[in-house]
This record gives sequence, structure tokens and C-alpha cells, in this order.
Amino acid sequence: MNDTASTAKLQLKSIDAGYDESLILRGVDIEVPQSQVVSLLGRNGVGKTTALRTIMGIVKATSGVISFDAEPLNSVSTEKRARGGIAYVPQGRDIFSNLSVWENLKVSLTIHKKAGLAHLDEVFELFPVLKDMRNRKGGVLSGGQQQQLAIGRALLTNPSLLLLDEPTEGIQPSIIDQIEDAIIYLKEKHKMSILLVEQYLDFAKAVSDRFYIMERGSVVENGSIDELTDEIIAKYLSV
Amino acid sequence: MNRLLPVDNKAEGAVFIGLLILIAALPILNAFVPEGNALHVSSFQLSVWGKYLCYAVLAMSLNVLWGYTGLLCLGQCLFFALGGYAFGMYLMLMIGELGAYKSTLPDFMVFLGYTELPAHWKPFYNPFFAVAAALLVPGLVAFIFGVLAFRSRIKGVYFSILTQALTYAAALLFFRNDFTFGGNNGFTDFKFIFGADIRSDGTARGLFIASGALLIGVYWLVAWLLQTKFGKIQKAIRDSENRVRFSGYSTTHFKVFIFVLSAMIAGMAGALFVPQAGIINPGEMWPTKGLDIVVWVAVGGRGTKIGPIIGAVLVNMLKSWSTKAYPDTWLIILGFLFVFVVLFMPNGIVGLWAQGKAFLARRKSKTSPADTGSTDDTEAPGEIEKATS
Amino acid sequence: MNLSAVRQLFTLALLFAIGASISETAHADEAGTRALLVEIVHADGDDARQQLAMEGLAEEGDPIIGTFYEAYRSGNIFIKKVASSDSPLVLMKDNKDYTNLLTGESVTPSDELKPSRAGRGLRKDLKRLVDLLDLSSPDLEKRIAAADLLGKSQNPEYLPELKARLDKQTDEKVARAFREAIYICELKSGSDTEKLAAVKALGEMKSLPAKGFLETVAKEYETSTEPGARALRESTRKAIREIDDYQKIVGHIGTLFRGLSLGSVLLLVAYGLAITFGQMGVINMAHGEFIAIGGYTVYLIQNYFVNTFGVGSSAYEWYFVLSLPCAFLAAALAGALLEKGMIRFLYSRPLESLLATWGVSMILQQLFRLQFGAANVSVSAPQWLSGSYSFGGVSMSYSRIFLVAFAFLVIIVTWLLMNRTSWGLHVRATMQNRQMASSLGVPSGRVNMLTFAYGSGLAGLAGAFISQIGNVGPSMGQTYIVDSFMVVVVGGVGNLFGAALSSLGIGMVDQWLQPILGPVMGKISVLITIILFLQFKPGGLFPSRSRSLDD
Ligand SMILES: Nc1ncnc2c1ncn2[C@@H]1O[C@H](COP(=O)(O)OP(=O)(O)O)[C@@H](O)[C@H]1O
Ligand SMILES: [Mg+2]
Repeated sequence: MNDTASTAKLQLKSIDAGYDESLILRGVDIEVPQSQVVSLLGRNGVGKTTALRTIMGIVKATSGVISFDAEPLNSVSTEKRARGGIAYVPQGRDIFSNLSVWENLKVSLTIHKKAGLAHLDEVFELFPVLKDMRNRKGGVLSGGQQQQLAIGRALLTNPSLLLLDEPTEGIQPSIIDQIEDAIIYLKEKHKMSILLVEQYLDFAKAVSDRFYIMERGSVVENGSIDELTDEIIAKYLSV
Repeated sequence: MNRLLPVDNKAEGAVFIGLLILIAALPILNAFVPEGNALHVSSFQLSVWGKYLCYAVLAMSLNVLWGYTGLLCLGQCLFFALGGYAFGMYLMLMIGELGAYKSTLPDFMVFLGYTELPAHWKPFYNPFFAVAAALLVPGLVAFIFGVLAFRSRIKGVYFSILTQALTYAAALLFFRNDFTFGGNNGFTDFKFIFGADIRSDGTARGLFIASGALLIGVYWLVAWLLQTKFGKIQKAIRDSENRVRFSGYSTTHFKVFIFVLSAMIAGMAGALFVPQAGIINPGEMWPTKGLDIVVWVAVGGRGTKIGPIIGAVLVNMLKSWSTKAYPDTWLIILGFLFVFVVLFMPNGIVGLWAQGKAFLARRKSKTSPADTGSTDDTEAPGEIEKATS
Repeated sequence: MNLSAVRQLFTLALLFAIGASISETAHADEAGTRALLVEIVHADGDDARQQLAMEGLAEEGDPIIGTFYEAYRSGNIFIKKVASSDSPLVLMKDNKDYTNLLTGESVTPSDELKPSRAGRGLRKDLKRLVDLLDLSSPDLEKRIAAADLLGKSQNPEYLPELKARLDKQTDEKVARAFREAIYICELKSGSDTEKLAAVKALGEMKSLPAKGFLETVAKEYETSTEPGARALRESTRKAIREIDDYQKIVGHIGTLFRGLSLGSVLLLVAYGLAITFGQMGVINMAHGEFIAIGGYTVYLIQNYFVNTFGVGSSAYEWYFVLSLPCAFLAAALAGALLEKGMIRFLYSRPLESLLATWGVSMILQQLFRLQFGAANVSVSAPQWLSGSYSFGGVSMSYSRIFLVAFAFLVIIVTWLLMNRTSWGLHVRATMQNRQMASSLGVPSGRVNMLTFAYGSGLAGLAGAFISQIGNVGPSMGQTYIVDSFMVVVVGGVGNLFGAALSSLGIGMVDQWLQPILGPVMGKISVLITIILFLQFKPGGLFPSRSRSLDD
């Protein structure tokens, strides 16, 4: 018990969470080990996004324990979680569309100052397009560019845990490759732990070490990525 | 739904029956219990209660709009006042030559140097015309404003602000002497209504009974409307207007209709209010009055049939009690009450019961998980954010 | 605050200079003048002696002549026989008090008073003297007023005097007034060529006071068939047209300025609202009471200064300058408390926030009433803010000029805050997507509180300025609040630039319509115009894509 807590970057233990009256997550257990990429899979509407939002503190867990670096997170506010090293790239990207690309990045920089600034060159190297378009409004970028901006913005908060919600959704293949490279680079170079929600199976398989599968608000399967058999896929993921 | 009474549950039925008894009993106590007896209700008290009933109708009219359609009108007082002015014109003409200037013209006209009654005043010798005007003028104003506002999809807070501006503009207009409606002082010193002395006990009873009848009639109308398809669409508009629009209904027509209906109800309430209050002036359409009505509805419970009545009566009782008991601080008391209601009683007094039950249910649900995924609308009033955002 | 300091120094210096010059010359002149006046009374009947004294008087320029002339004309000059002295005393009666004309000391009259009355000729001469007196007054304003008066009298007697003094005028404004007076005089008494020149000159000068006289000339020559009449007629018409055009421009500038100053008040009020309502999705019905907090802050500080330093003191002059930051802070503090205590529970529920803040508004208004009374309290302007600056017929009060300048300052400062500081960046990010901003670590609670406090503080500033141009009372905020909501809606909710534009626009339309339709109808028309405007642009001038208010 103590052993797992010390090795896990993030741990969710029997988490319940939901919106207003409706309970969405029921007894969710997830563990993201240090510097590993974990995929959270499942059909639409099973509660993957809700799980990430609960980790971020946007949705409050009504019971269970979330711990980050073995510290309980439940009563920590969203902004403190962000300052503590959790970064979130939401589904739909949520770029500040009235702010320029540079201002979008600056939101992170003004808060994380030097630690963020240290990543700036890296972000521009991973996603050169951000440098070229730094003065454009976030709203005019293409979907792929917005995704890169969202990831870049998240990296500038100097995270040790990165939450990615369907980063490949509706994005052209060339950019998907860039994102794949980035994930692998972050894991190798920065020993970053990554929790990836994905529908695109090949992508998930290519970058992940482990997987979790959710069904109606609960985790139903998990294991190392090699254990993700066609049988499981047919049962829980195919449409 | 109960077949005989337009109520949804026992508590509502009890309040409604209590109301019926009150409406029936007060005039009887006034007429048959001799003065001096502890149970006697003076004509003055009767007219005070008559005014409360008119306020209750006014609150119901706002509730039709706000509670069931999600349109928060801050200018409901305007329709009330317009109805009041329309009927007040009849009452002014009935004063005849008993005014201070002994002229057939209303006093303020003599004072302003009119020699002849303006043409738009002449039909108001006929009380039925006045009643019709009390219905139609507010209806017409609401129609014009509603078409303009809803056609360009003005809604939510914008609608609220514009209705406030509307009543503000109207009040400024009525404050003017040359607008032929008595300016600052409005109408007062009424003498006769339908040929009877306006101060007689019989008149007080008649007006009270009329107010009660109006209240019950409006109650039935609302109850009936809610169970028609129309009522369903109305609520759907409140909860998600776009969904209604995409499913092929013209939300503009619905909203204009409901706005006009609500204005006409308010106008009727105003018409009955004026003879019982004995005065109508532009202060009655000042923006703060519009907000008062919102307070009544919110305190009672918006989106419920009985809530607005409870709110209007209780807040006005509280008001008349505290203006006497705490003349300096009653506004502060009311203000705090209001803040409290908004923050802690989103469904008002009527919602307290359900709030308590939900609280207990939530405690229980921690042990046994509830069904998921169901976010269907319930009969209980939805969150305000749903209605407006 | 620089502006105020400069203005104050300037005013002080001016007062000092004028005061010094008056007191120095007055003493020397007054004694001489009094002696000459006594001489005139004594020399009654002796024309030659009087003439001599009059000539002496013409050299003197003391205001006592005016008083004396009034008294002489109305039979309030008396001669008192004194036994011991050979020349009797001359007394001047003012109400019931008598003064010795020679010394200015008050005297108790006795029965042996003999009224002295001036002859017609002497009266006329004295009148002329008095009329011309102010023409040489050291006070330039007085000199201008005197020239104006003489011009309007069209009395040809004064023409030579005006002409003689014209060259000595070094001040541009005074010289203009003299020329104007001369031309106006000539319109009546000059030869045809002189008239023609005067007409042309007045037209070029765009002399507003000359308009009436020019019209008289136009009428006079309307049917005349004299040789010069045609030219004169046409020039007169042209001059009138020129003046008319100018008058219109002046009128427009005046309206523009009044609209600008009303717009500036609206701007200060509406900017706060645009921030709290537009950007945060919160309708603060208590915003009007924050205005009142600003107004009462000024009132309290004024009272403190009056009690500590006295009204006339130079420290008092600074009270308003000190009031501005205090009014801002007081209202901002109230705003911060409101946000922390209530509003933060109501974000994204605009109608509920509207209702709850309405309750707060009721409470605050009543608290003001209990504390300061239901009536308006009086706030007086410091010296440097009272008075007005006039320029070519347009007169602008200093307090309004200051207000307009300040409003522009607020626009600039707000812009800088929003676009050049990290706080501003956080505000904009939070307004657009609160959850995303917090997910990046933006302390949205604090950002919201500060934003709300800033918006409320601006309302306080608005209140401070309203105290200088309007009333301070428990419901002072209500006057502006409906208009300000309109400003925000017209500007496009959430758009500060739109709010600035629409507040100035609404202010100007309001001031432009008021003289045409009257204050009430003007206001109603503005409201109707706004409602119609929203027909065509429901999202306002600059529709926003703010999530919180769209469907
Ligand atoms: N803001 C919300 N309010 C209420 N219910 C929501 C909200 N967001 C999502 N849900 C519901 O929660 C469930 C899970 O949604 P989500 O976590 O987005 O699933 P996924 O990301 O796996 O597709 C769905 O039934 C959805 O309707
Ligand atoms: Mg999802």
C-alpha cells in the first residue's frame, strides 16, 4: 500500500463524482506511475472527461481519495493543483479565442514565471507554428494549431503530470504525428507522467505504457498496454 | 393532478382552499359581524386585503412570464399602472362637479387651464370601455415591445434591462403635466364607482370579491395553460430555447403571446387596485416597483402556482407591519430578507419543503448510488441559469 | 493632479497681482477724487469752477465716482454747515448712514442739512464720466464689460473715447471688445462708408452681440434706394449669415461639450458596469449605491477639511484632489466585500445576482438615509474647480473640463491595466473561460474580486465627480443606473471600447435632443432610440462572443 503510493504519480481511489444531482463517476480507481504514459479508454459518454475534470478539481469528488505525489488533493483548489504541477489540455482545447497566441502562452508564463520560461524554447521547437503565429488571435487558428497551442500552454506551467483529453480529435495526420513525438519526448526527456484520454486506438497504443478502460462511470479493465487484447477492444471500445 | 382543484399536491391544495375561505370569509365578516366584535373586519381592512389580492394577481402575472418562460420582466409594474390609469380615468370622470374646482373636468385639468376634455378621455365615461382599456392598453404596449424585443432575440438579462428602461421612460412621461394624466399627482379623490359611493362598505365588499374572483380566475387559467401543449412548450423555452427553436416552433410567437397575456393580467390587477387604494400616480411605475414584484415572486417561489400569491401577501404584510414597527429600518429588513432568499432559498417559501427533502435524499444517496445519466426536467422549477444562459 | 496644482498656483498669482495693484493706486486716487467731488458740490452754480474739477476727475479713475453719481442723482448728497470751519461739510447718504464725502468717515447728521442737487448738465457730464470709468479699470474683465455696455448703448458720444483708448489696449481680448463696441456704435451713427466697414468688420469678427444691431441695419436699408444702400444691405446680410453660422458652431460645440461631460459621467459609471456585468456576467444593481459611496466620501472629506482647516484656507482647495483616491478606494472596498460575501456564489447566474444585489441596494440606500438624512447633502466645489473657461462664445465649466479629462484618463489607464499587466491578462482569460484559467493556475477568486473592486471603484469616482456637478443624496446613483445599463448594452456587453463609445454617444445624443425636445422627452427619445437600435444590432456596437451571456 505504502509502496504503491510512493511510486504512483497520481492515484484515484474509489472516486465518486458528478454534476449537480447526477452521479457520473462511481468508485473509479486509477493509478498513473511515475514517468509513464497511461491511456484512459472507453466509449463516448462513459465519464473519461469527467474523470480528468475531477483530477483537475473542476468537478468535485464527492467521495474517495485523489492523491498526487502521495499527497491528498481533494480539498485543494484547481489553481493550486495547476501550480503544483498538474497541467490540463481539455477536450475541445478551450483556447482563449480573444487572446493572441502569445497572450495564451503568457497566461501560463505570468503564473509560473521562470519555471515556465525555461520551457519556452522547447515549446517553440516542438510546435514551431506557435512562434510564427504568435500575434494571431487564438480563435483564428485551425483545430490542429489550437491543439498545439493548448499543449504548449500546458507545458509552460512546468508540469510533472500532464492530462490530455482526446488530443487527436478532429486533427490532420501530420499534426497527430507531431503530438505523438511530443508525448514521447516529454516522457523521455522530462520524465513526465501523462494521463491520456483517447479514442484513436493506434495512437494510444503507440505512446502508452498502461491502459484503463471505463464503462458507465467505472473502470472495468486495466493493465499494461500489451495486455490490451482484441477481445477487450471488441467488448468495450468498438462501436 | 386533482380533477376538482387546479393543484398538484396536498400542500398546494391546502393553501388554495385556505385562500378560498379567506376570500369568502372576509366580506361576510365585514357585512354580518357587528362592529366592535373581535371578528369584525372593517372596510378599511377589507380594502387592505383587497390590495394584497391585487398584488398577488400581479405577482402571478410576472410568474407566468418569469417562472414558466424564464423571461424576467422588470417592468411589470408598468402594465399594472397602465391598467390602473385606464380605470382611474373612468373614476376621475365620475367625480363630476364634486371636485375642488366644481368643474366637470378633472381638477388637474382645470388647474392646467384646459377648457375641454381631451378627445382620448371622452370614451372613459363608459366603465366598460375603461375595463377594456385596462386590458388592451397594457396588452398593446406588451405586444409592440415584445415583437420588437423577441424578434431580435433579446433575452435574458438584456430583456430585463430593456423592460426596466421601458417602465422608466413611461414613468418619466407620466410625470409630465402635459401628458394629460395628472403629472406628478396622478389621480385621486375618487367619489363614485358604477354609481355607488366608493367609500361605502358595499363597494369595499364588491371590490374585494372582484379581486378574489380575479385571483381565482387567473389561478385556474394558469393551471389550465400549464397542462396544455402550450404550457409544455413554454417550460421548454425556459429550459432550452434553442432546442425548442430547432424542433420547429417559433419561440417568438410564444413569447409575444405570453408577454401580452401577462401584461393583460397585470393590467386587470391594476384596474382593481386603484379604486381600493384610492390613488394612482407615476410612482407606481417607477423601476423600483418592478423589482418589488420580482421580490414577491422570488420569496414565494417562482415557477410554482401558489408561490407568487404567498410571496405577494407575506411580503406586503411584512412591509406594512415593519413600516410601522421599524420605520427606519424596514428597508434594511426587506433587503436582508431578499438577499437571504436568493442565496439560500432559490425556490422560495414553497420550495422549502422540497429543499428539505432533497437535502435528506442527498444524504441517503451517498450510501445507495442513484440512477445516472438522467438530467430530465422535473416539475420543480429549474435553476435560473438554465432559464437564461 | 498636476493640472490642479498649476491651476491653483495660477489663480493665486493672479489674485495677488490684482489685489496689489488695486490697493496701491486706490489709496492715492481716492483721496484726490473725494476732494474733487467735494469741490464740485461746493462749486454748485459756478460753471467754470465745476468744469475745472470735472477735468481733474476725468484723470482720476476711482470707483467712488460711481457711488457719488448715484447719490447725487437721487438726492442723497447733503451740505452741512459747520460753525468752526469756513467751508461746510459734504455728506453722502447711503440708506440711513451718512458719511463725510471728503474723508469717508461716518458722521452723525444734524438738522441743518441742506440737500444739494446737480443740474442737468452736470449730471450728464458725471454720467459720462462714470460710464467711461470702467473703460480704464485695471480689471480687464471690467474693461471688457464696460466696452460691451457702451457699444450696446450705441451712443455716439462715447465713440471718440473708445477710439482714443483703443490703441492703449495691449490685451487681445480687450482690444477686440473695444473694436466691437466702436463698430456697433458706428452702425447707428456712422456715415455710409463707415457703416459698410463696420458691418464687414463685425461679420469677420463673428460678433455675436452685434447680430441684433445688424438686423436693425438690414431692416433700415431694406427698402432704401439710396446709392450705397444696396452694397450695405448685401454686406449686412452676409455678416448676419456669417455670425449665424458661427453661432450655430458655437451652439454645437457647447452641446458637444455638455454631451461629452454627461458622457464622461456615464462612462465612469458604465465602465464599472461593463466590467462587472459585461465581463463577469454579474448584474450589480447596487452599482448605483457605489456611486453614492463615492459622493458621500467627498462630502465627508470636505467636512473634515472645513472643520480642520476652514473654508477659505489653501489646504481646503486640495480636498477634492484627496477625495478622488478616497472615493475610489471606499467604493472599491465595498465592491470587494460584496464580491467576497455574495457575488462569488452567483457567478454565471446573472438573474440571481441581479436580485440579490437589488436587496443590497435597498439596504445601502436606507443606510445612507439613516446616516446622512434623506435630503441631498451639500458639497461645494473648491475655488479652482468653480468658474468656467470661455473661448469664442463657448463657456465650459472647469469642473466639467476636469471631468472629461479624467474620463479619458480612466479609459487609458483601464486599457493599460487590461492589456499591459498580468493582472489584466488574467482578467481577460478568466472572463473568457474561468475554468481554463484556473486550470492554468490563475487565481480566479482573487482576480474576480479585484476586477469587481476596480469596477466598483470607478463608480465611486463617478460619484465624486457627480458631487461637483450634481447632487449627493441617498438615491443619487439611481439617476444614472438605467442609462448606464443602456450604455453597456449598446456598447456590446463585455466590450470596454464599445462602452466608451456608447457612453459618449448617448451623452451627446441626450444633450443634443434635450434643447429640441425638452429634458423628459429627450430622455424618452434616447431610450426609444436605443431600443430601436438594438433591433438592428441586438448584440450592441461590438457584439461579444462571451460565453456567459450567450445562449
Ligand atoms: N456539464 C455537465 N453537466 C451535466 N452532465 C454532464 C456534463 N458534462 C457531461 N455530463 C454527462 O456526464 C456523462 C459523462 O460525460 P463525459 O465525462 O464527457 O464522457 P466522455 O468524456 O467519456 O465522453 C455523460 O452522460 C454526460 O451527459
Ligand atoms: Mg470526453
